[in-house]
Amino acid sequence: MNKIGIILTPDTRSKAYITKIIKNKIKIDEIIFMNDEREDKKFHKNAINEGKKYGFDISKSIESIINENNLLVKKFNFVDINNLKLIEYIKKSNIEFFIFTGGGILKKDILDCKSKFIHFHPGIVPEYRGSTCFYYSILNENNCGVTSFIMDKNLDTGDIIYQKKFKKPSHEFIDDVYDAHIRSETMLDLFNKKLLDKKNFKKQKAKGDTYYIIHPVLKHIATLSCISDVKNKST
Amino acid sequence: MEYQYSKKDHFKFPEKYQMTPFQDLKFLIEYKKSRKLNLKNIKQNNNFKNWGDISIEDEEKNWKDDKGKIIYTEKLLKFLLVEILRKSKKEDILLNKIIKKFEIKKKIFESYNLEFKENTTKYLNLKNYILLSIICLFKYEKTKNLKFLNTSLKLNDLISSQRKKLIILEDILLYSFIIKKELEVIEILMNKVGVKNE
Repeated sequence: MNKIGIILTPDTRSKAYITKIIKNKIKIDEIIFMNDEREDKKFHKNAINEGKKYGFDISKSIESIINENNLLVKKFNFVDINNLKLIEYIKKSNIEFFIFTGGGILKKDILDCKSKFIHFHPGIVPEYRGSTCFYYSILNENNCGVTSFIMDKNLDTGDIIYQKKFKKPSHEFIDDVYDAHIRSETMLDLFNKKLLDKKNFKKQKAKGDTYYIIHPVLKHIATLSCISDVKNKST
Repeated sequence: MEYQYSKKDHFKFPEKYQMTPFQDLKFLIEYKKSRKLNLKNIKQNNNFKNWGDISIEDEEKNWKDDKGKIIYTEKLLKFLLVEILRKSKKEDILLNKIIKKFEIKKKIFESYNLEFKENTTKYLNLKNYILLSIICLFKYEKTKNLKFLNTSLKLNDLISSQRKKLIILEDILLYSFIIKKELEVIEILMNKVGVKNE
């Protein structure tokens, strides 16, 4: 059995990941929480309700989830995967795979650690690399996808562990709720299918497309297309 | 509610578009209203100071300096525009590089070295932003790849935030063209994915 850890950050994705790990009694060997004491975001009650339907509560802080469940957690007072203090700590650990809930590019120092870092990217790569890919996928394919891969020095180019497609949501809370939901569901598959034990990772094809953060006009068209479908079906 | 993304000066306050809020259909209505108002105003205030030429063909191969070490952005963009009009795909790598530079820096510098690192501090030439937007809109029409439309929307916000500085007829005409084209392709996209205007 691999030793598996998770690196949490103060956001809704981490809330979904850790809640589903607890609910599904998944064994995690090390929990790290990077927290720069930023104020917890306030959410609309409808967003909170949609999150609860998926099995997590975005109105609760990571700190309170940790305390309620008596989790043993190593805390850092910054949110930076390339911070040297974090790297020194990880170097001394015997964790083979860390699930990293945040994004961005890992620099050489952290990539030189023995541990590997798993990311759940909200797009099917190599077609959808980069930022806010679920919106592009909704507009192009009428669905969303998640790729789980081993992070490397480039953006979203690492070896693929697993990919999964999801229906587009029927509500507007895509950034705060649906994104967290589909990534955390893909994480559950990774554990349930024991994909980290099998280590059957696939190299990505070099050719792909990188998307940049979506413009609000396209974001609105994508989101409205999700809601209009529901409205059309109900009339 | 007003369309806010072309109101502030994008050169002084670059727009990062991170976690933009969802504001329902009224957002799209305000966006269209804002773009149409800009078009109307720029036509009324057309006291441009000089007339420019669209001399794209002449410059198509002269986008590097004599030693081949500096890329002149305006000439490069005119070259890319010609290539796209010729339906060539061979310059996609260059186009992707300049899109990446704009998406990250939110500016287009007047020249770059061959590794596409800026080698000047000048970035105020609006022609470069207009040319890249035209290229992206043509590329989107041709490929339907949304990354091009996405960049064009951001460029058009930036150009709209600077529209009072457009004083050359060529730039005013090209600005009108890109805004009309943008509105046209957005309408088509909305229809395609079933988003109605009311």
